[in-house]
Amino acid sequence: MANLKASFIRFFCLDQKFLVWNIVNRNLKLRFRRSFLGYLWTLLVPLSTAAIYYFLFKVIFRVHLPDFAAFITTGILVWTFYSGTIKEGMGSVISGFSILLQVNVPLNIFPLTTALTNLLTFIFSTPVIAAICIVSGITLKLSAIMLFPYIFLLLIQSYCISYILSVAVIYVRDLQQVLGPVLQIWMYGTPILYQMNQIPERHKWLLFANPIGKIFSGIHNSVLRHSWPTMVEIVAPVAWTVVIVLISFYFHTKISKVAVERI
Amino acid sequence: MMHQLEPIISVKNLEKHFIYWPERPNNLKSFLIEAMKGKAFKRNHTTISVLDGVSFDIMPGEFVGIMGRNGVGKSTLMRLITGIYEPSAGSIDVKGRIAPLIALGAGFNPELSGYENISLNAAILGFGKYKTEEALQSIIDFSELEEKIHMPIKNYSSGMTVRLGFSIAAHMDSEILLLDEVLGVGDEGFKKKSMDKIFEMHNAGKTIILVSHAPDTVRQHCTRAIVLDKGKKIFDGSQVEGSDLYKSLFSASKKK
Repeated sequence: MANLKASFIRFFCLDQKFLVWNIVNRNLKLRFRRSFLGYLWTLLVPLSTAAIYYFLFKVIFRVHLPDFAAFITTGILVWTFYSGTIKEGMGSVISGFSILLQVNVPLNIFPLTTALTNLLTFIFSTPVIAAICIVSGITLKLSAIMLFPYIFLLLIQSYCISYILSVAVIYVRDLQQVLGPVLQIWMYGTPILYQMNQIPERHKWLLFANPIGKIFSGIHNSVLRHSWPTMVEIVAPVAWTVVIVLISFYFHTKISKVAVERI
Repeated sequence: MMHQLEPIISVKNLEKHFIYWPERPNNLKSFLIEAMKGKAFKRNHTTISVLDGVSFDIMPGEFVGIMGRNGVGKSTLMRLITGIYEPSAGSIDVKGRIAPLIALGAGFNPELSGYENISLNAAILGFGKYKTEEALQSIIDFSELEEKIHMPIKNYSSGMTVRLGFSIAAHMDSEILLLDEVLGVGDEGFKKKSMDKIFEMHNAGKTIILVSHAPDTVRQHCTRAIVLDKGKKIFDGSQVEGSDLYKSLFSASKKK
């Protein structure tokens, strides 16, 4: 039991807070480079993507979805945080190899700090969500704070997934090329561009099969529609997160030391 | 006064082998191609034994030179001592913190200034927050970088980078120092200064392990020599005999 607790501490690098903070700090410095332009840069891709979808669905296809601009911007920014963490986290161990072979640092510190860096980047982008809501005439009510517990679940999930992938890619180098298409399918399978009530009844199960399906509907409802999450919007995401943590944790206890030798 | 008789590093029957699958594909594409041919899972692996039953104790305050030719397992042994690798068999017991002076500037980021890199590198080496803040000024002074400390590292010469790296590692308050054969770093002036720092730490009772394939360096500085060959310890004793043995065994083949 004490052993399990120690592994758990190492899984989240809780014994390495100073190092974690230093790496996150470095990543943020490099990303924002003391300038406002660096900040705009991190928003450029998600906001232009949102603009493209807005044009496509609202202007061309004339989809009837209330507050479509705010709906789509929120979804895309959250998805950028989640998928970006998985994508960058996956390559993080391989890029940290020179440190790993010289100094005894845990290898999961790389996906963990990647996830935390992206979390902070996302938090810096929340004023944009607020601004778009206000411009679209949506008043932000207290239920909007539900965004943060959902972001927390996404943080844990994306860390756990990217940890597994970051080690898997040591063994199977071209996994990174496969990830792109997988993320693309995943994005369209998640209610980011559409609302869950637009999904035909016989495809509704997809929302439960997708670890983040109910998270996105929960975020949309609590931020834009002023409704607190339903029971199922709490249970399904939490259950999925627990499953992902358990898989990743089991993996961590098995492989974290062996993998260093393969880099 | 009682002398401390507990070894600071205790290595018992240490073995390390690596398993390789020489023909196993390391990417999905070739794996799928081979799977279609139905032979993806039929693989033989080879075990490469790097260390094969090595034992020694190092007492606090010793200056030990570990010698061996390239590929004899010196780096593997160092990685086992620092805990990067785990032993395949046997045990390794280290009582104390290790300053790896073989990893100067690990994790330095060229875009950031020397000053910004100090905290990052110190954290990677295992400093805590307070220790880093406490040592900060002393690290900057020792590195002799002065106002250049606020320049990005990409504008440093290699000598300047290594000076900063040494300065950080040397300020770790650790009981054990790992060095490789290049004793002293940077230009001539700084080389002397860094050597003096190493000897000063040795005189203060630190244990030093020097990994080398230069017998003269070992003879000159160490108080004990260990010679490794083919995964085994073939000599453990005085630095004079050790370096003579090493020379007689391996220098001859070099000349041919």
